[in-house]
Amino acid sequence: MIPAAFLTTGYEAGAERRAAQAFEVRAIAAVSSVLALQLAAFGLAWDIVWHTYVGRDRFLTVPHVLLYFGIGLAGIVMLAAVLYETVHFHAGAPTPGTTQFLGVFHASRGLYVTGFGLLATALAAPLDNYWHELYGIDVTIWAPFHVMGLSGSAITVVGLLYVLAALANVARPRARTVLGYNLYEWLAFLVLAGGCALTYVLSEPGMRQVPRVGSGLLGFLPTPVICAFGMTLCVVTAIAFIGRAEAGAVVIGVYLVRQAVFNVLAPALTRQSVAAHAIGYRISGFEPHVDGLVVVITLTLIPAALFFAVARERAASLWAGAIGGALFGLGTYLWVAAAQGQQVPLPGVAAPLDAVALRTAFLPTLALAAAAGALAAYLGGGFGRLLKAE
Amino acid sequence: MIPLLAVVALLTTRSYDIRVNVPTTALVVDRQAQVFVSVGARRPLRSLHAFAVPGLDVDAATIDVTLRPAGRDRFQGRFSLPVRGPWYLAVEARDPPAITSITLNVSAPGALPAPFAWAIACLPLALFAIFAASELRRARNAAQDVPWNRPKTLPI
Repeated sequence: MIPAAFLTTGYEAGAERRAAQAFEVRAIAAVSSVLALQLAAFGLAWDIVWHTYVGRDRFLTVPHVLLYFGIGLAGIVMLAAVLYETVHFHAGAPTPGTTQFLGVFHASRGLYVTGFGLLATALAAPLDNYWHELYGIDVTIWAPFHVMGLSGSAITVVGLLYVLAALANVARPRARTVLGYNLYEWLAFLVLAGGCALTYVLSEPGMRQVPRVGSGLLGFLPTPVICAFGMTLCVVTAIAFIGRAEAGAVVIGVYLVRQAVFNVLAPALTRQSVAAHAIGYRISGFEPHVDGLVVVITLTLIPAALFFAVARERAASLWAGAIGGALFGLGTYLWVAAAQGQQVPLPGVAAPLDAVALRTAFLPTLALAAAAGALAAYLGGGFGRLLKAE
Repeated sequence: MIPLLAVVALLTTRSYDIRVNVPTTALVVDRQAQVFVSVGARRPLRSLHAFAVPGLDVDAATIDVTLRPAGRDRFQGRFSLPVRGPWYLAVEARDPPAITSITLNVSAPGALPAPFAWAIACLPLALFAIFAASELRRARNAAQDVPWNRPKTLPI
């Protein structure tokens, strides 16, 4: 049999080499961006602990520096990757899978989307600082520029998934694997776990500030509904993209490990920084600690993850999404219920829900979580198919 | 040089005379301001500590202000306050204890109306929604473009 290389002309071989080189550059950009954004994600987790226990004493706190350094670094890398692919295109050696943007740029769709998300997140920072200057340090997560920052981060997650999917699909036949997944697939799991974490951050005011929306039989808990949507979306996207039933459970597994690490490190580093800089806590005696309950209660997400693994190729169907969403909703309902028993001496915290209010809100919450899950499964299935074809 | 416009507080105890001076009457959020403290101590001063405490209805945490020696019996420090509204800058001497404070009024840029802020904040999401809608259409087309969905004969 004649090797394929002998059948290609010198020009084609050169083009192949250039394409391989361009893919390598894209891979380096993707890996470094994911790592930079892990730094930013840890900065965000630390920043939340800092806000809660120390207060927002100034803009350039250590967690903020970490957060915006990670975002800035990833943004620069993405911009460089777009320019590199554009220069290659204009030099007559386009990287496969590029799309045109604004008539000038030619780069991967994912690079544009990631760059746009990072830009939105970076622009939200000074606006958010301005909002804090006006309204104080305990502005809820559901404030305009927090939402802008978080939606920018969610757009970044989508963009990175496009980039990683293209790399994973090319690498899949021959790349080395760990537990059956190649490097880019693992990075995609890490990014999707970041998506789950973003969902939780976005739903956070539902833990204590707005634990219930509506009243009576129509009252529901917002956190389980938001988490059911976000987590189902991430899990079903993983299953539809990778094409393996247990991929969603892997995402939740990575999320749980990531949360455990962040939940241990963030309070410890806050305590260390406070001692090192000789600054005080905003409320005497209210100091950060590893909350064992938080770590344990996150395990309630496992049944939903296992359900999607059992549903196999039907995971993206509406009914599977509804059941999975309801299970995620049930897990996070238990988080909210557990949080009601904890005393938090901060301004803006609503009175804890009593047992009757929690019981009354149970069925409406689960019904809405199921509806959110069905919608998320529909969207996640479509997105996963696009990633598979990227 | 200390400008004429300033907020000044004076504390006289049996042990000290502490004079606190913030050389401005119009502080702006997140802008550096200076504080000058002069101490007339009748016996050696062990420690001097300054901190800014948010006033009523100011949602913020206490800020520590580091004071550095700036000549004999003089100290100076820099600080910036993160939230608009009234603040108290307190200077505390220990052994024997004495504390004095001055009231500062911190102003901020004009407030953006909340609906306008939300419109700006939702702009990236709105642009992304347009992209997502086109991607969803692409996904639907991709799902339909499978061999068993293709027409077996040409539609003419």
